[in-house]
Amino acid sequence: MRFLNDHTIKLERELNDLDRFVLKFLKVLEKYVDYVIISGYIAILFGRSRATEDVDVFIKPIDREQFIRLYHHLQKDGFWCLNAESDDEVYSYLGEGIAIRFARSGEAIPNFEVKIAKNILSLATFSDAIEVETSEGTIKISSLERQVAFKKYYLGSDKDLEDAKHIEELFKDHLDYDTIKKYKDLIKKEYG
Amino acid sequence: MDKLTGSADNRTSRLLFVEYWAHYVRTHSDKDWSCQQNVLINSQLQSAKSYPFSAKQYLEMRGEKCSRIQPTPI
Repeated sequence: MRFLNDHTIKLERELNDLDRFVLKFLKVLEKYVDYVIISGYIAILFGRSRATEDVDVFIKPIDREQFIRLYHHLQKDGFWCLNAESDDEVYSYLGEGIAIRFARSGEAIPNFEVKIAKNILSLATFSDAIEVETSEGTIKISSLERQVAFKKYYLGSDKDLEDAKHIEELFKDHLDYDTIKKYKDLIKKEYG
Repeated sequence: MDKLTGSADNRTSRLLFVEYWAHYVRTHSDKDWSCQQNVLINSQLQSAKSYPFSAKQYLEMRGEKCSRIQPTPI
């Protein structure tokens, strides 16, 4: 893998079934709304030796009509919403700040956990997002520094600390530790 | 970093492996490490096809809201 520039990584990995699930979902999602993947999937994409049952994604605020177009397209492409069925019900979950999960029709895992980015820190993930170019499509992820900071200083489970360690070791020649500290301070300010 | 260092402490041992494997990923081709990782990922997705719980049960186990009436897609 190599950095093409500060915001683009070319990843020449063999894709697996999880990657293809992600790419299939994103191919629809990106037609309707801007997104950033924020979860442990990022570490897995870059080789972390664990699996996951879900992929977390932030989307920008979206109006009802656009969301319903997105929802119908996802349904047409073989996805379903685990939480609810009707257009209005699914959209209302998002409006209430509740994450909604999409999986392949009839299945529960793996699934995409979709949340609207609302607070300042969440919205800021879009400004420094990185694009990862794979052989079958591009995936937008949060910046590596943000990933490390959130996993170490907000989430903090053993699994998250291991994910952060993987990213830190893998990208140690590229990470900006001043930026990680900046995010650490922002996390403390926002979440205590 | 040629050899994996061991530790009696489980947490330390896990972190040492994470560091060891990340170093491997950094120093080998994407194709090399991803073929190894994909055995794990693909086998997990294969197992997921036999996941014994419904979407509603899955969400309830996670403490998340589900108002789905139909257990399967219409």
